[in-house]
Amino acid sequence: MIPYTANLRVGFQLALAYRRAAAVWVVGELALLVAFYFLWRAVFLSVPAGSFADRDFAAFYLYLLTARLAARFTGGPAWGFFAQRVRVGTVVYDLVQPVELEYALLARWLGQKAGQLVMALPAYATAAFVSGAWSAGEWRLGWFFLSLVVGFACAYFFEFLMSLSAFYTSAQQGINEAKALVVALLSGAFFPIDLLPDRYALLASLLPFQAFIYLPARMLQPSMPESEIFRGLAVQLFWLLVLAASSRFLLGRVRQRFNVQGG
Amino acid sequence: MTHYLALALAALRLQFATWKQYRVDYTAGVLTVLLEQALTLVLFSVIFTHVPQVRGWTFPEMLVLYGLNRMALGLADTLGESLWWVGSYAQDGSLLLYKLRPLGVLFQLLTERIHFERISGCLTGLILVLHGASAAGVEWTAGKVATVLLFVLLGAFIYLGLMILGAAVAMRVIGSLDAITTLWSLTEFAKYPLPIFGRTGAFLLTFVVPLALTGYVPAALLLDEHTRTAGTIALAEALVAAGAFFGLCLLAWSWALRAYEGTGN
Repeated sequence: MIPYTANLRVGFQLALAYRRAAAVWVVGELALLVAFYFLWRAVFLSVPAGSFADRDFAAFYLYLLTARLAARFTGGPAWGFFAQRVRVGTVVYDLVQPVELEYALLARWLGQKAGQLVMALPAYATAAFVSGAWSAGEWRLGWFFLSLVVGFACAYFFEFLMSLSAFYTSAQQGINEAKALVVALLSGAFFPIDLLPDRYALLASLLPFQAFIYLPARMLQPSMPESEIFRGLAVQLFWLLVLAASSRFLLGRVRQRFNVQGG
Repeated sequence: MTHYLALALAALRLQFATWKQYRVDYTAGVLTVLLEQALTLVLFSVIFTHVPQVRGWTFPEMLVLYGLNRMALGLADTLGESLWWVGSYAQDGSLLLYKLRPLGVLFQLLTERIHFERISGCLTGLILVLHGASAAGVEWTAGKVATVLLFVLLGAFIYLGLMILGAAVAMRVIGSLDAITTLWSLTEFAKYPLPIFGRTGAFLLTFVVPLALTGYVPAALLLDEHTRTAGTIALAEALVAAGAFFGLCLLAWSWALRAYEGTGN
């Protein structure tokens, strides 16, 4: 257990060490939230009844705030976990370590994201207060953070699976960008996926991406009944098992076929 | 100048040959551009299935605005893609190598990797403009075509300026590989009509970070319905603001580069 808790600690300290980087990121994220605020306020003002798809503006904006927070917390590294290390061959050090690679990496990544979350939370809370979204929330914070952590683990294993593609192809940039966009579209990072037309909403509900952002963000919505909380968590746990098992399987295949030229 | 032009042409030829070798990257790159645009179009369609217009802008009109914006971005992205890497170059010290070569660092970076697949963003942007304009009943004239071309070029410079600024920040804030991504968040404002941001927002987006010139202004000039609102923006001043913005981004870059001393040994 010690290597994993050490990795968790290292990740957290790494996040704190790059405080200025986190501050730069928070500024950018706030800019995005301001843009969304104006866009959706204009949309709600254009609806005669003042409600959009049975939501009022405050509840809708609260969804966007929590979805952006979850998107940040669950987002993977821009170029995957291994691309550079596979290219130069140093990934072999990761593969020969006497720990389970995916869990050691999970611990470090979780620590890093937790550090970033601690620094970013005040900005989101301020945005919620200033915009008035705060008043619309159903504050089930325990369920929200639990769902956020499970969503993080789902997103991590998905990212891990995609990162393993670096062992098979060097065309990483396109793959990573395409992946990021598919996740952004189908995870609910920019709007609730239930707003999609029926058939696309159905498709999104059958894919794992909803577990990353949409389900955690829904936890604070007033329209979410208590019974739905358990259903949401069950869906997240299902995808967590599927993705973790797939990662383990594919990593085994990679270990069998990967060959580093030494000398 | 002739020397730089010759080098740029040589880099263009070399990059084109390299680019043809990486077909998977090319296909994925085109796919990325299409998906990125699809993401916003899905957002628009979600909005417009519930409301007929947002602040007077209909779906086809929004397509024109967005398409023009994508054309400018496509051009800038083709050249400026390498600037996204400056943060990691600064972090591992390799940026020092660029400083030691007898060529402008920015020139080296811009010609280092040209992403021809990003031009597809321009083409799809053009399709959106043509489709939206046709649905909105725009009558094309030579003046309107010239307006579109001028603003697309201008918009590309504004986007390139933003990338340069992001790279400068990434150089100074080590560990912030997201610096450009962060600044890129500002481009979200460029996708929507200016009136939704209120007077202060409109001022900031026209005269401080002139993103309005990358989509809203040319779209409004193109769409007769909105020309009057675009006319309230002092265009000459906005163009000066765009030039000043680009100049300031270059100054920030020079300052960051001068201050960069590598990572030690």
